[in-house]
Amino acid sequence: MPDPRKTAGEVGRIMSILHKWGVHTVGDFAALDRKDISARLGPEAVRLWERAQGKSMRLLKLIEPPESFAESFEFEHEVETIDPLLFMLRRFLEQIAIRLQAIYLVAQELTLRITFDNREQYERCFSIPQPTNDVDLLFRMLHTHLENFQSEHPIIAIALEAKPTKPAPQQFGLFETALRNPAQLSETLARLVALLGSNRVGTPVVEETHRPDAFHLEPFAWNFSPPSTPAEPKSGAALRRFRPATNASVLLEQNKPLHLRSAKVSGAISKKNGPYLASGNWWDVQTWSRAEWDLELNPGELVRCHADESGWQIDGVYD
Amino acid sequence: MPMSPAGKSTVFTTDDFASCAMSYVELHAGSAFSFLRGGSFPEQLAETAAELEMPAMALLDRDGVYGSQRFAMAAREQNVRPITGAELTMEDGAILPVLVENRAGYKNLCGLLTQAHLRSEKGKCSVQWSELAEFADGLVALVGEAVCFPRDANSVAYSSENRAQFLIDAFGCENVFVEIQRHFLRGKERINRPLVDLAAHYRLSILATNGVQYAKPSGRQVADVFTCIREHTHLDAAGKLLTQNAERHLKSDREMRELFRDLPEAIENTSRLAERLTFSLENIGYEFPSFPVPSGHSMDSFLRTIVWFGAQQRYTAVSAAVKRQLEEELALISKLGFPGYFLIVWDIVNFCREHDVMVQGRGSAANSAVCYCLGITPVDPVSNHLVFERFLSESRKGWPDIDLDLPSGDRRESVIQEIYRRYGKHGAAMTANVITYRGRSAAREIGKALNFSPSILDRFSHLFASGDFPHTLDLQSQIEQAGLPKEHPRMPAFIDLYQAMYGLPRHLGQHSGGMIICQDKLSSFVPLENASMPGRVVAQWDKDDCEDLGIVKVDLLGLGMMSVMQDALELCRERGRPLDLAHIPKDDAATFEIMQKADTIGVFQIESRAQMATLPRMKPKCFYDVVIEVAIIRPGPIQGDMVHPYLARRAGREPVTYFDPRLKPILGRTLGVPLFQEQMLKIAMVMADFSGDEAEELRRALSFHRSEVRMNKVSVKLRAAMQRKNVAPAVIDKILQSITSFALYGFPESHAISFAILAYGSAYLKVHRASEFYASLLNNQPMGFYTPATIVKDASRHGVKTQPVCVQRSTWNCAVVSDETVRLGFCVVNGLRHEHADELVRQRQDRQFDSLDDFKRRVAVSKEELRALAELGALNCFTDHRRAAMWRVEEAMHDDLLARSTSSSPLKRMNISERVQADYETMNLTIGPHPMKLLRERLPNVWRAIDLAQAQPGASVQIAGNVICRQRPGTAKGFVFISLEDETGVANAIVDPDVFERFRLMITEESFLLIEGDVQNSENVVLIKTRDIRPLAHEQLVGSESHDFH
Repeated sequence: MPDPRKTAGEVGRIMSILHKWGVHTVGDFAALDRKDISARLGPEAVRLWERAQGKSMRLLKLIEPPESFAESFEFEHEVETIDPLLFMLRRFLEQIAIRLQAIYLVAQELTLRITFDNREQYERCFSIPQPTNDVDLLFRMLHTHLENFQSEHPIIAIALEAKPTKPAPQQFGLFETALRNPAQLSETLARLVALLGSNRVGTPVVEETHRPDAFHLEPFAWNFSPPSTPAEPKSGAALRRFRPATNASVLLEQNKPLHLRSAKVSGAISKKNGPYLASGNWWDVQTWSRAEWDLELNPGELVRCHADESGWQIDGVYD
Repeated sequence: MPMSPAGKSTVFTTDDFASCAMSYVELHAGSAFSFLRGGSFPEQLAETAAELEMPAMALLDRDGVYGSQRFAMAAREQNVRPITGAELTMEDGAILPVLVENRAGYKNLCGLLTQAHLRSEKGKCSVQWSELAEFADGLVALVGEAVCFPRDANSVAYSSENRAQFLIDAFGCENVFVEIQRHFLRGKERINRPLVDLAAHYRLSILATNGVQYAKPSGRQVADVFTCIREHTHLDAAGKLLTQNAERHLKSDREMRELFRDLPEAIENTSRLAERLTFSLENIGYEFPSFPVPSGHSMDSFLRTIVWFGAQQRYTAVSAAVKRQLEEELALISKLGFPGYFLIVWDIVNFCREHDVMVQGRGSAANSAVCYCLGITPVDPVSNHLVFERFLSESRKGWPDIDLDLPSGDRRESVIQEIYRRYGKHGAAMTANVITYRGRSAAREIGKALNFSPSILDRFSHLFASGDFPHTLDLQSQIEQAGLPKEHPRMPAFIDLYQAMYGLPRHLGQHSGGMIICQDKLSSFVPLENASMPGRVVAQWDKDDCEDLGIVKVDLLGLGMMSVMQDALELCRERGRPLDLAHIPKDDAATFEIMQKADTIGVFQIESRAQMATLPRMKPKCFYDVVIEVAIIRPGPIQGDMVHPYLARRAGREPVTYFDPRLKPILGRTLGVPLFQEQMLKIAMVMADFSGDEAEELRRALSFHRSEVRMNKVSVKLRAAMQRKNVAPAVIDKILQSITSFALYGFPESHAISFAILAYGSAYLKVHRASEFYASLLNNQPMGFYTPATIVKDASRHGVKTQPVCVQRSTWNCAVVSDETVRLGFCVVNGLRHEHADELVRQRQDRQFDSLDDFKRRVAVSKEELRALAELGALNCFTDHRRAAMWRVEEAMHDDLLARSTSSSPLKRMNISERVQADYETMNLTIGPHPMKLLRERLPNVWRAIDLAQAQPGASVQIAGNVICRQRPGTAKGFVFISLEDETGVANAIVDPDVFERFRLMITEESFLLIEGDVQNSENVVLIKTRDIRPLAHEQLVGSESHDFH
């Protein structure tokens, strides 16, 4: 069996030579002599020539267009409430589930597209943690999302598409625990996202930046990744961070802190180190800049605080 | 022995700064010449140091002294004493800052850097710890964080104690300082405390520095972008690679004392050490090599002898004027100690002559009768009334400037290699050429760092392929056009960065021809490093820096046209109709006729679109007209609004007037319009009583186009002097405007004469030795303004027929068959290797090929090369037509004992359009019909280029053709000129800025255009003022490449 990629390159080479020869039609090509073709262009060209001559036989292969698992609907009137949407979506899901079941597939991803009257489109992709055809479960997922969905424009069309996959039983390791109900987890996450916003739900990841305590959230994923190598122990006293940082009032003398007052710690400052200046993201609107201080308060308490554009805040206390 | 002219300048002494003693001195600062590390020009650092009232400052660029001279110049002007040093990249990644104490130290630093650079590939440098001791004398080492705790170190074999002990052993205890830096960073004291302990342990002095990377805090942004470029990342992903804050800027004495309140001696030590570092770049001890003279001669007497001998050869009778001139020049040359320089240049010129390399001195050397008699220049300054002072004067600092034009390519390389051979790898070097961030390169790198999408950057590159166009679109609009919305949050950062990075050095290249040589090791005066070109060594300074330091340079410039002319003259000699350029008639009517008709494709200098547009107005009738023609199309005269007055006066439409009656003798030859630099100097001398010194300052400002400040300074002086002489204010303004316009591109008359000789010579060859001229022009491509396709068509319009490439007849070069016929050589065939073509010719010389099989058997060309030869018709000698050859070349070769019968080709002949297409695909030219001819019938409304002269001015016409040239001269206020070639010639269109912006992408990308517009006809120069542009899309249209926006 010839390598199809190699064959494609070979055919390209042959076509380029034929083009330069002024052979532009199948008829012109078929009119050439087989021996001449063989001597000049090689066996692949002979195969093409035989095909052009109608001498070679090839069974037709039935190529079926890929089954589509998509449904869509254009509303006659503009829709401004959620109920008609949910009604249509349930029907879509039922149709799609029947079609998937018929060929022993399950949905692993749903894509929802909503078209507004200004022709803008909203698209949302739902990844299904445990691929399924359970209409109720899938519907709950969509419902949860749409519960808090708001738009400035009325809706004129809706579409739903499922990405199919083969149902595969999952085998866990001996000591790994499977989620008892991945669908339930997914739904819970979706509810949280709907409630809090997508930027406030997920797994916090520390950012590689000079901005202290900076992190972002990555979508929550249930996986069994091995624990990363332990970070090198840091020298010096450990900082017990307040999250969020506590607002504070600081009395300054010649631009240096003299007295600190806050809900958590207060007192006159007996010793201070700083300022430690840090700034970043100067290239866009997220620009930040802060001056940090380590302060020793009279009762012997060590605190870290900083001043930025919003005022003074206490980052934490040292053990 | 000549003394370095720079050596005459005042040297700073520490006493000068006694009053400022004990102030903080920054002893560790890097500029943008640390390449992708520092964010400021050396000049900006010097300026800020002066603002901060710093008495002295050291510049330590990474692995070199690239910016030291510029820094020293600027610092001295600001009354800041410059200190030299460098940061050395050590073999294990540690960075060792060293400061130069005295001349021995400087020599050692240059030697060490040269040694480390020359054993590394270009752009890399790594100093071995073991070689430090050898070069330590006169240097002071700083032991700091980058030495003891290197961030990128690939070896931790040494502890900080070991390292300190090692440096003490190498440099001596008093020459090692412990460097402490404080940047308001948490954890920094964990590094500084051990360093303070280290100093105490070894009894070393502590030195406060700020490790400066930019002059002002805003420079941090550029430094961060440079980090991204260096690390191949973008700002969003760079994370902790970026700096934590913007504290690495120059700080005042008060700020630094506040920072080092607990270590006041660290501040005091900076000024103490600065006092010790007395080295100044003003006197590096450079000496030009002496010239070996016959016994019984001094260099003076030998020069005198050969000059008088030359005078007898050059002049039929040496007149009193010539005698006087030569005596004056020789006396001055002797007084200034320059005879060795003249002898060495004379020697190089002799080498060229002996080795059959055409050579011609250009530039101000043409003002010298000595240079003329030595055969260095072809211009007789006495008969041309040229000013010797423009070349050499007693008040002039620095060496005289002799530039030699040589044929580009192998011949010039042979001269360069001969100089390396004579002076050694450490004795001669090319001067550097600093490649800077400009236009597209700056925008692209900034865009990448700001994480813009590649599609925006690609679109920007396509739209603004041709550089900076501030005429019609500001930068924000440009990037908006490329797809970045106006309100994009990073747009302000992009604009700021672009302005900050514009002009900053990007990397070091080599100057096209500037060579510096010296008596001893050149590497004692300037570090040398490998160029990317094999066999070339480049100095770390550019030609202006070398000139400022009194290092003599000889410019060996390659001119494609000299190569063409030399080749053409050789062909003439071989064909038995020799020509001596020195003796061709200077008043040849036919030569002036083609100039007057602007029929100058292929002619040196006057072939550009702008020159062609001026020629019919200028109508050159004598050699001096050509000199003016060469000089007139220059940014200088155009900016000064000087071209039109000259042409109008010449045509008699405007009276000849002078700014002042006293200027009549100076400006008489140019009808009252100042066109040459010499005239500017004379105006200053007459109208402002400028002395030789001041005129010299003006000359330097005129040719020193990198400093506006210098120009402004001279202008102020000039204005004041003219006011003192009661010159009318309006006249002062006019004179100053003419003079400042020259600052962009000063053009000396002597230079114009040298170029005019080549322009006239090449035009003469084009007229009288057309076949030799065109063959040589084709053999030296790429060069000039036009592609081979255009040259072939031009040849045919001049009755020179071009024969196709043929394996039985062609050689590598295009050859002259007869006075009217040129045979194309293999050099025009795309993808055919030179050695394969040579092998082909060798085989053919043994025995002619008797068949295609014979050819295939004996010549080892690749299948692709064979296919190309068949396709372009080079194998037609064996077959009936091209496709028959293409049919045959695909046959596999068999070494059968019995001859095989080969079937005849069943393929159809190529038709004309197929042949033209095949020609362009394989040679980028065609000797068949122009592609436009094939389309002509389908374009009934389109005018042919040749017919445009008959069009009524103001009439609306369409023109179409292959775009052979797009130009947007900086002086044309955003107007674009497009040249379209059709089968009859070249039509020119002018596009106003609005229309250009509307069709920008189409104009820059399409190779065939149809342009509709109104006819403008001014003195037989026809231009179409564009209204509408359409791409001329057709499958038959395959054209040559355009020569764009040069």
